Amino acid sequence: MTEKKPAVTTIKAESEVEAAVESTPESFGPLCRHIRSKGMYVYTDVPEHEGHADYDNTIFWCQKTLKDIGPDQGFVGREDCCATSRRCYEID
Amino acid sequence: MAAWPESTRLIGSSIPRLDGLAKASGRAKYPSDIRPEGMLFGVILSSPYASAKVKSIDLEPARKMPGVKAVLAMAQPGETTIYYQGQEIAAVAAETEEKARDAARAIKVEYEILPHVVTERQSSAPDAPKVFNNGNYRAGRAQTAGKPDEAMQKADVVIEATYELPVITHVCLEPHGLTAEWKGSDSITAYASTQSVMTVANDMVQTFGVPASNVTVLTEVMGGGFGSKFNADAWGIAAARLAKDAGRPVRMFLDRAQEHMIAGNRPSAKAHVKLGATADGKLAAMIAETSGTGGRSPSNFPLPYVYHVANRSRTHTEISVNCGGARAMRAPGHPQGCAVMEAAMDDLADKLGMNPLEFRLKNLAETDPVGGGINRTELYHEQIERGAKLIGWERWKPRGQNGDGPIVRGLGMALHQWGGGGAQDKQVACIINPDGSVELRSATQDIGTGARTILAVIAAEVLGLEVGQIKSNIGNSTFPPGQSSGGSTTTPSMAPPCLNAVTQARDELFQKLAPGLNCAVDDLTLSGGKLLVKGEEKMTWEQACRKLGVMPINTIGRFGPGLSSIGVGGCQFAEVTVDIETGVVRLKKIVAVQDTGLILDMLTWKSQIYGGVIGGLNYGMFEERIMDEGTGVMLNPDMEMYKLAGATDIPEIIVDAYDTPEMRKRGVIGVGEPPTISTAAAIGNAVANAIGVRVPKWPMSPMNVLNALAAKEGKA
Repeated sequence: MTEKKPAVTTIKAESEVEAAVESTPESFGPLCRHIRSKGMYVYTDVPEHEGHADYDNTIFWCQKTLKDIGPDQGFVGREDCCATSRRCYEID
Repeated sequence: MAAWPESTRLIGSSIPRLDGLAKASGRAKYPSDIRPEGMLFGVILSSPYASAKVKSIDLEPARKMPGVKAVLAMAQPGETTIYYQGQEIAAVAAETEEKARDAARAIKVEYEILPHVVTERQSSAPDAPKVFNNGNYRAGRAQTAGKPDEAMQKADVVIEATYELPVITHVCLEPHGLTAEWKGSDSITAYASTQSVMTVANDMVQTFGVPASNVTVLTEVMGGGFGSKFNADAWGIAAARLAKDAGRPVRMFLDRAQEHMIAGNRPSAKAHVKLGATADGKLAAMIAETSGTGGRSPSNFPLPYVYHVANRSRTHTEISVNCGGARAMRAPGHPQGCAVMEAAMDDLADKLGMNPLEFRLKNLAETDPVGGGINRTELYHEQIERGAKLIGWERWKPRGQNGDGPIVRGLGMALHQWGGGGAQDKQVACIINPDGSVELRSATQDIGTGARTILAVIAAEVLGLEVGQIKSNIGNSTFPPGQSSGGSTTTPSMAPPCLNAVTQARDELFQKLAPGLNCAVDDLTLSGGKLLVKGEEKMTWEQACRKLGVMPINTIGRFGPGLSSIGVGGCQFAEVTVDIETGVVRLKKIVAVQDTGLILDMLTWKSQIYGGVIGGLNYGMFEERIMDEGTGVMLNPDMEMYKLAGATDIPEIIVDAYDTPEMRKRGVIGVGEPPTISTAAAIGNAVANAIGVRVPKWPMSPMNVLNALAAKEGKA
């Protein structure tokens, strides 16, 4: 198996889905304000609790869809939801 | 701030659950049992395909069906990509469940079927279609410490092996879902099977823009969550939309097949491990390449686990497949990491010719400090000693010396650890009414661990009452902010504010009573349902409360330092027999030694350990999601072919509470997750001990056992 560099979804519309395969993100920003994880509701007294130094299995979902797929059909994740070019990306 | 009492009447004793009889007799109303007036039944239409595009959806045939009151598209034609079988396409609400199912079947959906990959093998094959936007796999977090290659070269004994654990799916007895009831255009009540009433309430606020003050989520009891029931889910929101459209409440709970497909899973794990040690049994190096899949979600896990390996490297690959996504499942990551590490430890001990128990003791960190000034290494030594006695480890024999068959017997063990600390920002209200009734309120919920009972035990202890005299009112999102039930945090988050609320309420009562009794506040105590002045009974609890007049006492308790802590561990031992002709493994006995902090109710505490062990033995023996590579569908989305233990599969289980004065001083620590971690690992090691060869794939099914035996004989 060949190790791949993590890529980021950059889909804006359905016509771009195929073209987005292996695409390079245009820019990164802070995490989208709609991303959610269990830790956000459990460790409410400390910010950014989730993610262990040696491993990370944090499971995210989008507040808009309540799934691991965003409104733009792209995936929800720590890197994915920093892509400012996603049409659903929002920050405060 | 209050402190836990040094001598206790109730805390630490075995007290039955307040709702135990109602649950056992069927009187308890679970969210899926709630039937508001005029309720409609909701059904989700799921995708039959693992990978597709939705070209068109025609809802009209469903709308025309008799009894159908609302229909909703959940996928958008020309836009929605189907990533897994079971993905939501549409939702229907009708007068009966049968009518709703008929209507869902009548919906016409045109799909463009796309290539799929539903197994790790299929997804990572050299010619696999790239079905995900970012490719089928990506690198997970890696780690390196020391000089693993150099240290491995110097190791006297090295094992190299591949271990595999399958994807398993959530099988909560009560399916995921809620019943939504609008009360006016901007007020909604949801009866949800959830481990976080506050999260579901927030989802309603965020989705519908209704004021938070107009949202009520109720979860009086629930049928299991295990990490998978945190939000309202797409189907819960669909229920609320349908209810709004129909103007009637809508009940929407997944069916069992949907539960398996879309309600979450524990990711698989595959690990190619090299583990080296010196001849005297000290770990020298570990080099691991691991991978796993949870759909598209992260599948990483802790490795090395528990043991100290100074020189180590590890890479991890996240594999994407066209299957439903992972969700937290009781101790996320730990059961996988524990099984892999403990298997490698046992295999290396065997190659070294050492007793695996002694090998483990040699390789714990010298000091492993956890909350409350505890050195976990010392704890492990004591726990292993206790567990070894309870299982009869003196009967342990090396692999290959456990009988000629066909029935062979084996012993195995494994260690685990967990956090279990609480959040410090939750609240509990305590109300003492003039009629003597006492009520606790908080927006937490009982996921099944006994949260309702635990809070009542604390109140009864402080107020000198019986547990049944306390109304422990939780599972209501409008109450003071309570803890979401995840990470074994509910009890350590809620017990401290409960103790403070009740102590404050008691003190307020004393302050109001003391002047009329011509005594000092400090002269007053409560015991046995009586008010005492300087140790002498003065009046009953009810008489004392009547002196409040018409005004109840109402206090809000918050977190207090020293009342809870973090960091627990334990060890488990398993004894099995294996029929080497059929490959059938039978569990004979499991010993679970578990430490914790202050145990509030020994009965509910032990109940968590039993439940954890049973969950763990299901992982070790039975559970496995089976996907069909040709069609992309799950082959066992039911409770027949998705194997779970029946009553006769459950062995003798000995729970040993490591309950010492030192532990009690630490305060409360959660214990919901740790006891499920090491069971599958201990079972795997017991099977290897019995048959003389490692079964490298879980579960310990006849097929996997026979394959391992065949490989041993060169017949694989």
